[in-house]
Amino acid sequence: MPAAAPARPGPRRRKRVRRPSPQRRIELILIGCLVLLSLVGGRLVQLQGLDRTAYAAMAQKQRLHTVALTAPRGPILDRDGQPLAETVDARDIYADPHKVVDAAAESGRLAPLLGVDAATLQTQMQQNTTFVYLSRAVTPQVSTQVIDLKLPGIGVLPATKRIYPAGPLASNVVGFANADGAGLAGLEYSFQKLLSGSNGERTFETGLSGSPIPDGHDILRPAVPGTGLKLTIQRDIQWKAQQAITAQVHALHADSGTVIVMDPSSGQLLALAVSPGFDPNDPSKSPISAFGDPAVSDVYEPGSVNKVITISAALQERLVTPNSPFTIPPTLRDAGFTFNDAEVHGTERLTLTGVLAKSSNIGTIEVARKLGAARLYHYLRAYGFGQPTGVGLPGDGTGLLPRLSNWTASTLPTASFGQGVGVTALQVASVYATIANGGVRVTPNLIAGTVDENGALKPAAAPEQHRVINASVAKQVRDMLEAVTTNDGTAPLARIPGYRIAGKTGTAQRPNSHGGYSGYTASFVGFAPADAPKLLVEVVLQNPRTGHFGGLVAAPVFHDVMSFALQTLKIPPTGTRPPVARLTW
Amino acid sequence: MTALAAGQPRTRPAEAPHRPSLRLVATRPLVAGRLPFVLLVGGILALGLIVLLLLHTMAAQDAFRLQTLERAAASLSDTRQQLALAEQQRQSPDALAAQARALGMVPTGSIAFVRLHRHHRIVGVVRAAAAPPPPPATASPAAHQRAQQPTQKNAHTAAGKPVHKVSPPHRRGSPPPHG
Repeated sequence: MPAAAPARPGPRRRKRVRRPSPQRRIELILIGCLVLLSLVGGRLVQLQGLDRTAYAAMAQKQRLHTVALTAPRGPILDRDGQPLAETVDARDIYADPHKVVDAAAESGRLAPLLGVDAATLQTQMQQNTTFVYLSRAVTPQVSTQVIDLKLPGIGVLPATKRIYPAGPLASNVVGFANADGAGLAGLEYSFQKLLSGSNGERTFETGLSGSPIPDGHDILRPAVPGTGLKLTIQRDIQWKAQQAITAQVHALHADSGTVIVMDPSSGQLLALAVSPGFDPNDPSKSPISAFGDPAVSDVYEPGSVNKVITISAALQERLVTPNSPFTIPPTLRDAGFTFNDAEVHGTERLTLTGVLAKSSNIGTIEVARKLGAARLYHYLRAYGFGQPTGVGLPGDGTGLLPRLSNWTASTLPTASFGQGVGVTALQVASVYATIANGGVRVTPNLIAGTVDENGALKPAAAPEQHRVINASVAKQVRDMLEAVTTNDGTAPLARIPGYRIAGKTGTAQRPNSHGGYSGYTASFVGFAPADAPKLLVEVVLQNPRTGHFGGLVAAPVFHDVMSFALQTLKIPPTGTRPPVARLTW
Repeated sequence: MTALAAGQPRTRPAEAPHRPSLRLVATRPLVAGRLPFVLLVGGILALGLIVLLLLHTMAAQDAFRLQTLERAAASLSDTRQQLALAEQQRQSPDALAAQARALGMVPTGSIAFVRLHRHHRIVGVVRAAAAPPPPPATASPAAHQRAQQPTQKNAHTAAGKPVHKVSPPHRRGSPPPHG
């Protein structure tokens, strides 16, 4: 440039020629070139220097592809490892309505494959959006057929599906999860966090065809699979219990029914059956009310099954013995109420065993008077009333046990034979399991442990336990309960030939929403073998219309379920003779 | 420099024949060695390029193959899941019970065990199971009883001798009243 400066006067001198000198022309061209070059250079600096990251990111974005990796939900297994809930691969079918060419024709072809109404599909395909699910979690076979149709605007996404291979089996316990992997009922709900795991993703560069570029950018954040649950439920016993209670609920036109099968020494629940249940594979067919588990959430008045608490407490406190004599009048007035027994009778002379075997309300009130409110309340609490069972199911109820300070004069006599207090079926089962287990209450439990993706079991923590009554008292009560299933007791129908069976019937009035009573709760809870209890079965029927005595309507179900469970678990009879019980004096 | 080196030896042999021909020998390979060296480098470059191309092609091919195989694996895994599911459904207690009923089997009404380790005794009560309910079409009471008769006989024969070896406290059809 400095060289060009002295040349400037030149053109001025030759102005009249009106022709720029070649030198001047070259200079102009040079300047023009330099300007152009600097523009290009500037642009280059702008692109490569200043905006570099943005453009590089844009370029990479064109090649980068992110795929969400769905974490498989953990399975729920029965005690033998049979699946009650598991996750399989599935596909979601979606439409991009903007790319759909002929909604009417396409929906017509898709409808039979997806099992959805063609009109519904067509409306979905005509929405003003770029994405709409047409059908979720269809089988891979269906999705292949959809892909083969090659319909414009219809796509397939990988998905997973929660399936329940055993159908309604234990659905009240297992619950169900929706298409987005959210547990909505049962253990699927209460163990959502554990079961769901966490999703991952893979980000990688792809070529035009969509296949990954080798050695390209590839970042993998693997999905963490959900942890599985192993339950203490035994599938076959659960099935039998569900079948038996469903049949009885239908036969008696009852509102609902519950069967609990439990191992008293470990507190493990082998079956927790309710009727009516629901099909977790298609929960939309059932009302929302069916999704709970009445065995832990339904509160009812237990009735005579409660007498065992009063009587075992009196035995433990050494106030009575199994042969203590009681004189039972036809009716008894206490706290302004008149109490009578289920059967009309004259004045009877019953032993304590007789009071329990014949389920005498009046006799139990006499025992309760010796015991007093404070001690009865203490034992009701010790047996687990008024607190959740801790079994791990949603809606685990506390029942309704009024605080001792709120007890009125009529609470002691009514609570002694199971009216005026509310319990759940599982709480009652736990009382009898305590007696069967020699007086030690083991918290009922349902979860045997967690299972990782390789199937390795991590056992659950041992359930809590505490002693409620002495082993000798528990044995006395067991012998007394055996008298219940004799011909003189209230439940001869519960007997299983060859086995010694102990149990107790319950026939309680059902409180209604108007503050009064209507209908009955019929129940039977028992264990076998009576002298070395291995299994406990409880049957509760709510509001049976034809017949309502626990010994007549619940005991046959007990018999069927207990027989099946004894066979399934191969529990032989003990071969001992039952003690000769004195019911009268 | 090459021209100089090539030119010098031609004039020198006349002047000093005793001079060693070391230079001549030394320079010739230099001239001749150029081409092979260029060829060698070029060859290595070309080979490298070809190998690189081949490797890339193979990698790309592998990527395609991987994709195809992954698809096949996914499809096979789908099939496996489908079959496993079908098997599980057939194994479910409900399906097994239905199958058993279809074969004419009935649940047992009594429970008995053979004790192998002591005296080979039978514990429990052995009793023939009740006949399965006849099809509803022929469900008259008389037909029901006639249908029941042979089944019970069969059951006794099947159970055989042990029926009479039932342990004494439990040897009867109906249990004694307890207490």
